[in-house]
Amino acid sequence: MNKALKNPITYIAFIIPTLLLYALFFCYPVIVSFIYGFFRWDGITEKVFIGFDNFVRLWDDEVFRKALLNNFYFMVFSLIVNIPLVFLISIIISKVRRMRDFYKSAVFVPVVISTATVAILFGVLYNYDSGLINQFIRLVAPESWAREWLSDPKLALLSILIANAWQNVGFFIVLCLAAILNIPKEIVEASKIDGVNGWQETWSITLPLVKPVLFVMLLLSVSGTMKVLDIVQIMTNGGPFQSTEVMATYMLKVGFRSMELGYGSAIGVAMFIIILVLTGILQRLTKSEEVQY
Amino acid sequence: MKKSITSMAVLLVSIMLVASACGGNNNGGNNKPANEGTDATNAPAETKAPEAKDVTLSLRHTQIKETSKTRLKILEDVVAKTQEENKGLTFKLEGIDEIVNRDQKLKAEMAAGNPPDIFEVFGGADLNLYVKAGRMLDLTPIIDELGIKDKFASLDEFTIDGKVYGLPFGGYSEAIFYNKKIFSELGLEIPTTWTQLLEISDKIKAAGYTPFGLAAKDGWVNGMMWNTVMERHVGIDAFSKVVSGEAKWTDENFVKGLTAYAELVNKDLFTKGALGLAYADQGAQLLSGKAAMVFTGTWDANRFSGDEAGDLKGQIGYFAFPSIEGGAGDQTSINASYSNGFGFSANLNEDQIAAVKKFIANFYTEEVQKRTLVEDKLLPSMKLSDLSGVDPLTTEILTVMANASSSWKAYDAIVQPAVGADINVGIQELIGKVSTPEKVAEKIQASQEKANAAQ
Repeated sequence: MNKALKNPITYIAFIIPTLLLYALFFCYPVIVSFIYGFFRWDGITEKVFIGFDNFVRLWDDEVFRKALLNNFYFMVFSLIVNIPLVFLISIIISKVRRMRDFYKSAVFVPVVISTATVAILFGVLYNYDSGLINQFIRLVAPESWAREWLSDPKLALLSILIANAWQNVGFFIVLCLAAILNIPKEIVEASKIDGVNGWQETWSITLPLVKPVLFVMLLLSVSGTMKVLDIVQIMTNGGPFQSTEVMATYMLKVGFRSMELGYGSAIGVAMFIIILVLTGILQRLTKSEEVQY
Repeated sequence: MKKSITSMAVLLVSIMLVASACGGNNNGGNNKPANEGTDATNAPAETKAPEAKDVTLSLRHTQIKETSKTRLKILEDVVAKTQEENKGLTFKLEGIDEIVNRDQKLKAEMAAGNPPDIFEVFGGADLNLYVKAGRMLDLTPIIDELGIKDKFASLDEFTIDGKVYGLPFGGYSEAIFYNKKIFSELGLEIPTTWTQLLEISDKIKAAGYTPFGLAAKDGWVNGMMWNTVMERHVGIDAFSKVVSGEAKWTDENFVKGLTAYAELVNKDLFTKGALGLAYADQGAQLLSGKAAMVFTGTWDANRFSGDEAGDLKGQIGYFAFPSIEGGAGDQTSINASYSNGFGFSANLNEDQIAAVKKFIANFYTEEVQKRTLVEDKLLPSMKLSDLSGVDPLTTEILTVMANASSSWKAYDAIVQPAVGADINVGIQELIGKVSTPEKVAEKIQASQEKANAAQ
């Protein structure tokens, strides 16, 4: 047993399957997309090499710019609304003594539901005529307050963001909560003896100690929101008139609806680079010291 | 140590083998997929052919939904009959989702050169691409031999350079389904002119109903009515002319057509919040009695006369889109098309082609077509001599079809896919009242020029 563990072949044998899968389903597609990006290709007939034309076109493409901007909205929303909310709810749950497990499971339920289901559910809630939200508004306010949630270009993205937040917050809460509950009791007790109040405790003890988890959440949020596809695809399909288009839905449309696989690949490549750069910067920024209890 | 080096070497070699095998497949797939496919399908059949004549045909269909049960049953019956008549012949049926088949699976298989032996395919742009790549079996000799070529209502969508590459199993037309109850309650007549259409729509609206049920989330749904309004204004040839560059979307008549469509929007004749609704909602609005009319295709006839109609069962009718005074198009024409059909792989060997011939002979008969019409309310793709036993809605549909002066295929089968996508966005902008007909025309024209230049 010991001998086997010292043998490098053992390690290689264990990582090779993963590496192969990684190469086949990640490296290969990425490289091939880069190559396809230089062609005009409908997926079936001969490819035509057009150099950087696809990328030049991408640079001037208003829809892509709009889509990128929408991705940034997604990101900003999750950074300034979701993460503080997650932290707040986690603190509250960590303070509760009774039924803490119940709350923990309750916030996690939306995570378990598939995104497709969430999207359709919220689609029903947002329905102009019969949706619960408008029904409620009509009950307590004048008719004119009812909104076309998913078909008003000003509101559609926000409506999606809310649905998205509802689904994703639970996962982050569980992460954050675990970190909070992991803080050694002695520290909290010691601070109590020093006369720290609740607000100070949160601000100067809990927050710094869960920082690593917050960074993980940050990273997950950024990469998650930049590549978001499913919830937008199902709730609005990028509409109305492309006002909620994100990079991934636009890529899908260009590649498989308009059958411009070359241009679609170029969009994919752009996404790849943007996400890589963003997460790279974030990792640089957050390469901070280990937390010492 | 030595041992570990050898095993390391073995491992490396095996990795390289796996990797090169992958590479090899990919290269083959890209370079000469047709041959490879033929070899693969030929090999087993050829070795067995002399003794048992065992022939297997894979058949891909998309009739997997609850609503297409009857169509599947008809297909299965034909398959069973063909198998019974030809010992040793086996069909392998495989059902997958329509959109997955059309947009992903079949396209990927076509790219790789290994489509199923028999598959559902759309005429027009899709077929064009596959024929260009040499993936489709030329059916001209088969239908000539069977003598059924003249029996089809139209093979236009499947004919390229005089050769037939697919056979439609049904067709559709697009016009207005309406709620007869609301019409008689308000004392409305079926409109035959644009002015009348606007008049009755105002009345319907005043009575608290939605004149036109609409679900505008997916562009093609809005495209249907828009297409007919445009055709009335410009004539269908103009759509081909913008592709060839002889006409422009910004020409007067095109803008007039867009303005007419915008008029419907500005009078609030469509469902409120339509841009957020998926297609199924549109039919639901009609069947729930909220909307008095919907503009859609006859593929919904089965739904509209089925159990979902509830109280309205038998109360849904169909009329042709009214003529538009002063328009340049054919005022009594209809968007109708026979584009849903079966295609056959070019990889088939002789025995398989012989089996395909038997399948075609059994499937494309008046009897099967009649059964499809009666049970499934699908417009027959072949001319039928006997039309007894069809339900009232189908009769209305057939009457509308018979009264149409000409028929034409939809814009998205004429313009390039990228332009079609931009048209859909433009219509949505009109529905959302964020743009003007002139601006939309300019945008579509810009996209058209880009697509024309790329050709």
